This record gives sequence, C-alpha cells and structure tokens, in this order.
Amino acid sequence: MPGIDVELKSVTKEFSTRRGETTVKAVDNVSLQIMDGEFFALLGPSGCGKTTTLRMIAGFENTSSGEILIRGKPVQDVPPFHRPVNTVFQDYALFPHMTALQNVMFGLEMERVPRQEARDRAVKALELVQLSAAVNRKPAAMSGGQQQRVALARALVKNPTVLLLDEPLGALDLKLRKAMQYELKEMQKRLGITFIYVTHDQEEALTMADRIAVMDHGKVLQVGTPEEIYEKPHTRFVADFIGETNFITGTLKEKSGTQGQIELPDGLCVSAILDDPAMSLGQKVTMAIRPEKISLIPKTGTIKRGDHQEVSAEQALADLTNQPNMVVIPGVLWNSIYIGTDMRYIAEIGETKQEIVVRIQNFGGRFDQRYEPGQSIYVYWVTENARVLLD
Amino acid sequence: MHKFFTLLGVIILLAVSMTATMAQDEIAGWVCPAGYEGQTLRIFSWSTYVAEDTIPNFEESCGVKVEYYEFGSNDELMAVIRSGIARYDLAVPSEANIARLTGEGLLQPLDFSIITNVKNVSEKFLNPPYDPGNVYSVPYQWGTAGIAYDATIVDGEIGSWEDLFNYDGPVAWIDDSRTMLSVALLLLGYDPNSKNPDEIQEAKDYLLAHSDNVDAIASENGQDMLLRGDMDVVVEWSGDLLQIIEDCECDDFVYVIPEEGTNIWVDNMAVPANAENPRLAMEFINYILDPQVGADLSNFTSYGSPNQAAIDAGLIDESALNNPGIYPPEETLQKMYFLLDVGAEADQYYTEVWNDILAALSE
Amino acid sequence: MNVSPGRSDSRGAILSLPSVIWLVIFFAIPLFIMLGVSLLTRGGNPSDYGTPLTLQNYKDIFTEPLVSTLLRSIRIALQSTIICFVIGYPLAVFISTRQNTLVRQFSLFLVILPFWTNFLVRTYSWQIILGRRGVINEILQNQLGLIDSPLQLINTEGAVLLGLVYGFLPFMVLPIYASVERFNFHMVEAAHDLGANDWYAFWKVMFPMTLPGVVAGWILVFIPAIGAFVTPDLLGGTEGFMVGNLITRQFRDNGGSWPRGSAASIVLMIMVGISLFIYQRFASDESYARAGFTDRINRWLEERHIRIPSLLSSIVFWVLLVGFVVYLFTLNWTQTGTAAAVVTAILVGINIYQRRMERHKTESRSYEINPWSVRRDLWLRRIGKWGLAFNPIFSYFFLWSPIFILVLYSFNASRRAGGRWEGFSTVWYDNIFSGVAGSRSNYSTEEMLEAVETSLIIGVVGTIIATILGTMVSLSLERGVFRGKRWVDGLLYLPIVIPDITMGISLLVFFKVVFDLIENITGSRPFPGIANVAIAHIAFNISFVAIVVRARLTDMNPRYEEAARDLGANEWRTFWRITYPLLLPGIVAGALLAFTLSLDDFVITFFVSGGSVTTLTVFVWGLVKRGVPPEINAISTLMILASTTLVLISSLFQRNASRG
Ligand SMILES: Nc1ncnc2c1ncn2[C@@H]1O[C@H](COP(=O)(O)OP(=O)(O)O)[C@@H](O)[C@H]1O
Ligand SMILES: [Mg+2]
Repeated sequence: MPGIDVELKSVTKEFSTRRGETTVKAVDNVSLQIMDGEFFALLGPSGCGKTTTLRMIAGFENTSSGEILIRGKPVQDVPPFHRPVNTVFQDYALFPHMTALQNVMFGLEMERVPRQEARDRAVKALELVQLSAAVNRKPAAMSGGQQQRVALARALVKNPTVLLLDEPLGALDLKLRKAMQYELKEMQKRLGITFIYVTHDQEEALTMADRIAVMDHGKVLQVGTPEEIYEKPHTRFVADFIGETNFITGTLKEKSGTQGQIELPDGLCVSAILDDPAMSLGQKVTMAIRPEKISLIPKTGTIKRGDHQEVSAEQALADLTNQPNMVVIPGVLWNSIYIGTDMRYIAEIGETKQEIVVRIQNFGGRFDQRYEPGQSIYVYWVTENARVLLD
Repeated sequence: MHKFFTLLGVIILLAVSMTATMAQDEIAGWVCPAGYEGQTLRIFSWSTYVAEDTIPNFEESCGVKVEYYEFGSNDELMAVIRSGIARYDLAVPSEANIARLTGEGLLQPLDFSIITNVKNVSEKFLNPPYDPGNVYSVPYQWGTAGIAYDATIVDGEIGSWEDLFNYDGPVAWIDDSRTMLSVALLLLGYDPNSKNPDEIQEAKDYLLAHSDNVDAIASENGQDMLLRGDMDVVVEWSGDLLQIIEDCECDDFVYVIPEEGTNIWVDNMAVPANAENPRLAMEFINYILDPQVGADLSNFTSYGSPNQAAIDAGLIDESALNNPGIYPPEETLQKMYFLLDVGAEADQYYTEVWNDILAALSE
Repeated sequence: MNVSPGRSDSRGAILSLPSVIWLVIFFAIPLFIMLGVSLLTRGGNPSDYGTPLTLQNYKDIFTEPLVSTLLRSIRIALQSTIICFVIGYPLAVFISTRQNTLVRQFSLFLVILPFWTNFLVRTYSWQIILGRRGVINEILQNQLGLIDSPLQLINTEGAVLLGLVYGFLPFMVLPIYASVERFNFHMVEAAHDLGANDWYAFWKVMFPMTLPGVVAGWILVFIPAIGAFVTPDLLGGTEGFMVGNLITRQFRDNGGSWPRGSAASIVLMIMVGISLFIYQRFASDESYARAGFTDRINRWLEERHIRIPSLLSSIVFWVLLVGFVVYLFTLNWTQTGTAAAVVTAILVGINIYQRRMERHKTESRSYEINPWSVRRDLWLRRIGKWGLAFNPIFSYFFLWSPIFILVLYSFNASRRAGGRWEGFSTVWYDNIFSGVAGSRSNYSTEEMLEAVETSLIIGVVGTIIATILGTMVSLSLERGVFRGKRWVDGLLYLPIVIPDITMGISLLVFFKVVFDLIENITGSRPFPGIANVAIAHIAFNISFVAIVVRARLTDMNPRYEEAARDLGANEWRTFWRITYPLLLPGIVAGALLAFTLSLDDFVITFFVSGGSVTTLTVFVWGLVKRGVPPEINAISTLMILASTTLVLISSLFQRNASRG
C-alpha cells in the first residue's frame, strides 16, 4: 500500500481584487490525497484554479485556509526553496542567461553538490530527456520542444518527491505533444516519481493519468481513474467536460435501486442508471448519454447487417424493441458530418425535438451505412449507458 | 504680462528720473548729447555694481538700450575678453588687468574730448602706475579686500589677518589667487607683488599651514555664506560686505580692514579694442564721472568713490565718509598696496600655486 | 517589395546626412581640435597656444597635486554611483512591480518630475537644508535640542556626494526600471523552485538578467558625476574641488591654460571611453549580460584542470568586492581589513555549518526540512521586504524634500534666503511681480524676464531644428540600409554619454579657433551670442530626439508602411500619410525632451556663450554664485511651477496623441 505523498485538507485560496473590495475564490475547499508514485492529473477549464492549486503545493502562494502536507509534514511555513517538490512551468521559465547545462546544474548548485558531480548528474539528466546535443546552447537558440525537455531535466535532476507540471505540453504542436505525452508517462513509470500534472486537455488527462481530479470554479468535482471519470461522471459538468455528452432533461418518476424511470417533457418514459440512488422522486434530473453509445436505424429502407445481409427497417425496429433495456426514440436527422474515424450525426428526437448527437464508427467497406440529413430515423441505446445526474 | 512689467518699469523710471532731475538742478549736471538714439551699449562688469537707476537714467536720457553682462572674478573677465568670443563696448577691469589688457593690445585709447568729467576725479587716482597718463582707463570705484565676521558668534574682535588665520570656526577665503597670496607675502615680509617663485611658494606654505579653519573658497558669495550662517568669518571685497551690513539693519556683522594692511584695488572703465560702439561707451564713462551719478553709484555699492567733486559737494552719504571701512584714515591707507601686473609668467605661476592650494585644501 | 535595395540605400543615407554633418562639425571636429590643443604649449595668456608639441599637459595632470584631484573625482564618482545603485535598484523594483498601471505611472512620475526642475535650483536648495543654520541643524538644535552646536554638513565631501546622488538618481532608476519592467518574475519563482533562497534568486537570476539596465545606470551616473563641477562648487566648499572645477579654472583663470584644460578634458573622455567599453562588454550582448563572469573564470580554470575549492573562490570574490567598497568609502586600510576579515569569517562559518548539515542528510528520496535554514531564509526575506518597503518612502522623501523646502521658504519672511523661519510672508512674490528687487538690485524682474526670453528663443529654435534632424536620422537608421550605419549610430550616441563639461569646452575652443580664422581671413570678428548656444544645444539634442523617435519607430510595425506602398503610395506620401501620424507622439515626446534639456542646460551654455548670453540658468547661477537675493526661493518656486505645468500639459498631450 503506497503512502500519501501530498495531501490537501480543505484548502481555500482567495484573491482580493483591486482595492480589496471583493474577493475571488480561486481554490475553494479542496481536499485531495495524492499517492506515492502516482500520475495525478488536475483537469479543468482555464481559470478553474488548477495553477493556483499547484502553486500552493510548490509554495509560491499561501493558502487562505486549510492545510497542505507533503509526506505527512505540514508545509505551511516552508518557503518553496525548502520544499521537496519541483515544477515544470507552463512557460518553462528557463534562465535565458544560462546554457541548458547551466540551467540544469543550477538546482544542484543550490544544494551545494560538488561541481564535478553536479555536472555529471546534469549531463545524465539531459541524456534522459534526449538532449545531449544541445547542452551548451542558450534557451533562445532552442526549439520549443527542446526547451520543454530542458525544463523537465532541470526539475528531474533534483530528484524531487513530487514533480509539478503546469500544462507542460501546452505550447507544443500536436504531433510533438503526443510523442511527449508518451515519453513523459514512460519516464514517470520508470523513475517512480509522483507527478501532479495540470492540463485543460481531457484527452491528455485520460491517456496519461492514473487518477484525475476534475475542477471547476475552484472546486474539485470528482476524483477518480480515467475510466471512472469517463464512464461514471457524477455531475453534468464532468460529463460535459470529459468527452462529448448528450443531455436530456426530465423528471424522476420511479426508482428501484440504481434503476430509475425518467419522464421526458413530451411524456415519454425512459429508464436509466441513477448516479446517486438517494435521488428523490419528482426531482428534475438530467440524463447523460455519450454519442458513441447511441446508434440509429432508418425508418424506412434497409440496413446492412454483416456479409451481404440486409434487413428491412421495420424488421430492425422490431428486433430492437423486443430487446430488454433498450430505449428507442424516433427522430429526424438534420446534419451529418464526416470526421474520419467516425460519422457524426445530429438528430432531433421526440416531440420536443430534443437535439442529440450520435457517433457511428466509420467501419468502411461493406459495413458502411450512411444516412442523409432530412431522413427519418430511430435512435436507440442500452439503458445502462444512460446515467441520471443531478443538475 | 511683459507689457504690464514694462509699464511698471516706465512708471518707476519716471519717478526715479524726477529725483534725478531735481539733483541736476543743484549741480550743473550731465546731459546726454543727441545722436545716440536707438543704439546699444554692452557693458561687462561685476554684479551689483551700479545703482538701481544708473542704467535706466542713461537709457532714458540717451534713448539707447544698455545690456549689462556680469562676471564673477577678474580672471573671468580676462578669460572672456581674451577669448574674443564676446564683444563688449565697456569693461570694468581692475588695475592689474588694465596693464595686462593694454599690453596685449586689447584696449583702445579713451577720447577725452568726450570724457570731460575727468576733471572731477581725485588727484590720488589719476595717472596711476598701471596706466600712466590715463590713456586707456579712468577709475570707476575703489575699495579694499577685508574681513567681515558675525559678531553674534565670534568672541572678541577680529582685527587682523593673524586673528583670521587663528580663528577657531568656519572661515571662507576669497577665490582670488593674488589677493590671498599677497596677504601671506605681506605677513612673511615680502613684496605683495613678488615675482619670486620661492617667495610665492613660501606664501603658499604659509597659507596651507593656516588653512585648518577654511571651509570654502568663495568667489563672490562670501557675504552670502556669512549671512546664511555657514561661515563665521569671511574674506571679501569691502563693498559686498558693507552692502549686507547696511541691508541687515543690525549690528550682527562687522567689516574690518586688517591692521597689517591689505590690498587696495581700483576698478576702471575701459573700452575694449573690438568694441562695436566705442563712442557711446565714452559717453557712458563721462556720465558715470558726473558728481551726482558717481555719488549715487557709490552710495549704493558702498565702495569708495574716486569722484572728488562728489565728495566735495557733500553728495556722498555722511555715514559712508565716516566709515573707516570705506574711507580709511590716512595712516591705514599708508599700509595698503595695489596688486600690480606681474607679467604673464608670474600670473601663471600664481594661478598654478593657487590651484595647488585648492587641491591641497580639498584633501 | 517595390523598393529596390539600391534606392533604399541612398534614401537612408541622405536622411542621415544633415545630422551627420551637424554632429561632425559641431561635435566631432571640436573634440579633435581640443585634442590638438591639449598637445600644444600655453602661450602668453591662457587662451594662447602654440608649438612645440608636448605631452607636458598630460604629465602635469598625472603629477601631484592634480593627480590626487583626479583620483578623488574618480572616487567620488564611484561612490555616488554605488549609492545611486543601492537606492535606485530597489526603487526601480518597487515602481515596476506596482500592479495598477496608474499607480505605476505615478510612482515613476514622482521620480522624474524633480528631474524636470532646474538642476541649479535643486542643488541650491540643499544649501538651505544642509547649512550651519539650515533646516536640519535648525531642527536638531533649536527644535529638538539634540545637539549643542551645529553639525558641519555643508561644505563637506559628504554634501558633494549627497548632491551628486540627488542629481543623478533618476539616471540610475530609469534604465533599471526599463530592465526590471521587462523582467519575467517567473524566473524568480523558477529559481526558488530549484532551491535558491531570495539571496541566490536575486544574485544568480534577477540581477544578471537586469544587468543591462544596471550597467546603463552605472554609466549614466558615473560619467556626469566625474565631470561635475556645479554640485561640488555649490555644496563642497574647499572639499568640492573636483576635476570639473580644475578644468573650469584652466579656462577661466588668469593664469589658466587652455592646453592643460583640454588635456584634462581628454582624460575625462578617456575615462568615458573606458566606461563605454565596459558597457559594451557587459550589456550590449543581446543574450543578456555576460553575467557569468565568475562562470567564465570557472570554465577557464576547468579547462586547465585547476581546481579551486569553491569556498576559497567565494572568499576571494567577496573579500575583493566588500574590501573595494569599504576602502572606497573609508580610505582606511584597517577598516577595510576588518571588513574583509568579517566577510571571511561569515563565509567560513556558513560553510562549516553547511558541512555539518550535509552529514545529517539521509537518502535522497525522503526529505528533511532543516528548520534553522528555513528560519534564516525567512529572516532574509523579511529583511528584504522591510528594505523594499522602506526604500520608496526614503527615496521619495529624499527626492522631494529640497523642492518642498524651496517652496516653503519662498514664503519665509526672513531677509536671508535660507535658514531660520521667521514667519509667513508673500513679500518676495510681491517683489517679483512688481518688478522691484528690494534694495540690492543685483537683478530685476525685467532682467529675469529677458533671461527667460533668451532661454525660450534658444529652446524653441534649437528644438525645432534638433527635432527635424533627429527625426530624419531616426528614419534613416531604422528603415534604411546603407553602409556606415554603425558609424552614424556611434556618432549619434556619443553626445549623450560625453560629460557636459567636455562638450562645452570643446565647443569653446572650437569657436575661438573658427573666429580666429574668420578674423584672419575677413579682418572682422563675428559676435556670436545666442547662435553659439543654439548650435551647441542642437548638437546634443539631435541625439536625444533620435533616441525617443527611434524607440517609437522600433515599436512601429513596418508592415503599415509596406502596406501603404503596396497600395500605391509613393515614399513621400507614405511618410506623410502613414509614418508621420503614427510617429507623431514620439516626435512630440522627443521635442519636449529636447526643449527641457535646452532650458535646463547650464554647463554647456556657460562655456559656449563666453559670458555673452544670459539664459535663465546662467541668470540663476549668477544669483546663486554672486549674492543670493531673498527672492531666489520665490523665483525657484515659480520655475518649478512652470516646468511642472509644462510636463503635465505635455503628458496629457502625449496621452491624447497616442490614443488618437
Ligand atoms: N494573483 C492573482 N490575483 C488575483 N486573481 C488571481 C490570481 N491568480 C489567479 N487568479 C484568479 O484565480 C482563478 C484561477 O486561476 P488559475 O489557478 O490560474 O486557473 P487555471 O490554472 O485553472 O487556468 C482565476 O479566476 C484567476 O483570475
Ligand atoms: Mg493555468
């Protein structure tokens, strides 16, 4: 059982705005436990307080209230230069008057590591980030990717207990970013250093992190593994922020266990999984369904099913309605977008013309089935895939 | 705004010129000949060296404009005239500088057909050693270099150079190489106009040996230092000091002519060789030598007047005539000396020695 | 683009030409003439010179007692530079870290505004403050009763130092401000993050990154300080004899010597040259200063496999630095030795302590926070914070008290221009406005207004010409490509860094030589006056205008002009329709700067006019030097009021201009 590396207990940070008339809660009553050796992501839209949280851990900001512990020790009165954490800054903050090597050696000099040893360690750190060629270059003469690596080496060479990364890949182009994501993850596994990784890119968080904390307006909304966050978002915000989601509002009519019956505005009743079984009947709720978990069939015509097999639309509809736990609602397509891996359809369903997005994988070849705007269709999904959230 | 001031100026002028006219009634005074209207006269002189109405009256009478430029030391006057950068119609050099300028051909002979008032000048100041026959100069004002002190601070009296050198408190010397070194030469028993480098060196050593109390070398603002209280004792020209004593209307300050004797100087009016308007300059000289004008001048500056006619006519303030600081008794006068031209080489030597003194004092 | 390189060549060069000609004739040639004169022998009177060629003038300067005057001047200049730095750096940091733009601008304004009031007036004000019966002594002795007899503050070297620091502090603050403003404080956080406490974060990161501004500040203070002669003259008494005074005497004394004065000026120039060389080495490099001076030494040693314990090298460094500063200020080897010993002891102590701590260090992954070093660093931070909080209070008080005192004393009923407070009175203002000057009319209101008029004529004419020439040369340097551009650049910057006194003297010598020549040829000698002064003012103002206009031009996107030409405007129309309107705020700012500098100049006017032109500053100099009338405080207050109004109006205008 790994120990807790960093713990935030009800941490709040308030900034007073100009003339101190009002205050902004940049971080609001956040509690987190980050385990030893974990890759922990702080995810949220810009301005939600991620950087502030990170800066409090690093020691650049004081907490307004609450407590931060690193390896069980409160660090309230410890200035940043005495904390066993290091940061990779968003803008890298490389010292422009020093070469890459000098940048990396700086932290060791501050620890009074003997010069020769410091040099060796710095060279090794630069090798680790595959930058041996550029050791004597100054930041101005390096590309963004190279600078990013120097920043990483500069922090890693200090052997920190925790490494804080503030959107470290934000300034890189897509391809480089993907490559670096992979490298970073590998490196973290190999070195076993705890990473706290700030990003507003949900995909980055999902692919890299062991656990994710989703933040909004200074609050942590949900903490969990990528799968938990994606599959079982607790709030509408989380569901919306991570991936794409259709929201359908309604009223909770009946419930048994985690199963609930939702009445849609047009009177239709559909069943779904309740995120919180304690929801009370008659409550206004939102149902969330991921587009890739919805499928559709045409109202008329035929459907391809496997090799050279076609069934009529009526037949297909009958097959679907016969299945238990299947929700089928009629609608009309009004837009279809080709996005390479998928086809993205936008339909209006039910009498309220609720807009809904459907993603169907681009199987290609003989499985390919295309629908046109204006076409009447049925959308359908399995009830377990629809989750009922509180607003 | 400017117009307003001009108007005011004219009103004041009118008031002043009325008193002047009244004076003219008593003595057959000076009248400006016609023909100068619209011309300009450039004068190069010391600051505070004319009475308030001296120049306005002249401008008024002749219908000319006078530009009055100031210098702060004899050396500055020499530097400017020699550099030839500026051109003046009338300058007021001291006795030694008359000799120097004459020697360098920088002055032009005076026209005594215009300067008829030369008859008013005291015999004592005519035909001086530095300008035999008054070819190039006539005396303007004369005075002494002396000591003034703040009687509210200084215990006892300061009556001699010896007292000055031994005084315990802030003292300012005057920034004039010849004046200060001549004092030392005098006290050492040498000729105040010595050209002997060894004697001058000795004088320098003497001054340096007595310089512990010296806080500043004042160019022409010793009286201000005294007034402000920065200095207890200063060496300055008599007139500057007597002016503040008069202004103060108090008994705080005392001017003394040191008992060992001191430098008597005469400032002279002379016309530079490159003057643009020498005739008007001659006219101005004649104007200054008028008894009333000369008396007004001296009554204002508190310097001695060479104008015997003015003294005889009783135009000079009684108090001044009775002030031994301005008109010293004959026995004191006996101990005074002129600072004469010692030649370019010695001049340079004096300046170098003086600069050495300044450099040494700054350590 | 439709402009061929060939055409842009000639266009660029032609725009530079007028300024280059002006500066060559009225700046470069005078310097060479001065150099020539410095190698000649003095003739029958000070301004005469002739063969034989000699180095005697230089020898004289480098022998006693003049050499000690020179060394003392260097020492005082260095001292004032150090003090300006110690006060100015934190002040610049304070100003540039104000979050609110208005507050920041106002803080900066408070530093600059005193600098817009006449230099002589401000220096004179210190006479009132420091005098034996001045404000400080009055308070200490009569109000508080702390001392029995007045302190000797005025007429000391300390007063000179204070006056120089006071006069040149803005020159230190402004360039550092520019550097700190650009400095990314993230760097400090990064340094903290890597384990550097405030001390190291400052010296290893912030200081080297702002070094270009610091070095510029050092130069801008050191050069005028070493050539100063007004401040030492007014505040130093016998202890105020510096090179500037020495040079002045060579030109104005009866037994002076122009050749020797020229030689002394050349020596000043050489010192300026050395300073510029240092600047070039440390601050011209774009990739920041070669701050890694110690790094370079380290590398040099490393390459030769010489290992010096870091303790030894840091002891050598700090002992040399601290020793130098302590010696500079005390001139006492015992105290210097003591300071060096204290520094060594501290460094050794820290080292021993750290070794002991290191021994306790455990495995790298688990960490120990050393409470002692945390406490030490927090104390360090607290001291720094207090310093940063106290500095602006002190600095602003320092910058403003002379002005405040002047204004206050202009209402003093006392007839003596300084010293004791004898009740409130407006009599001095009444005197000025009624044109009466009291009983001692060594000046009159009319005379003063004439001086103002002279100043304005010189200022306006000089500013117009300098602004036109300066704008042209800026356009040529920023937009043109031609050979010799670097030379033009250099020529343009020299007048800024050269001490006033050197420039004044070289022009004095130059005019004398030229007038001699004219007299020889035509037989009559010109009477220059105002024209001389205006020419000199233009010569230094071209450079100042160019700096301001160029700053604006570099900020201006050349695409606008290219777009205009792309749309078919020729160069003439492009300039008037596009460049000129965009550039106007810069031109106006440059012109205002030139105008102020012209109004404020005393030293150059003083030498160049040869006593024949009375500008306002020359007039004030006369008042201060030759008998201070009680009205002087009131006159000064009016001058302050006028310049403040001017600045306010101009800044309003600039704001509108940049908005519009
Ligand atoms: N120094 C500060 N002063 C005032 N407000 C701040 C400061 N730093 C951050 N904030 C505010 O706090 C909120 C959170 O900021 P931040 O932590 O930077 O967000 P994120 O990194 O998630 O984009 C924002 O609304 C921001 O405006
Ligand atoms: Mg952020």
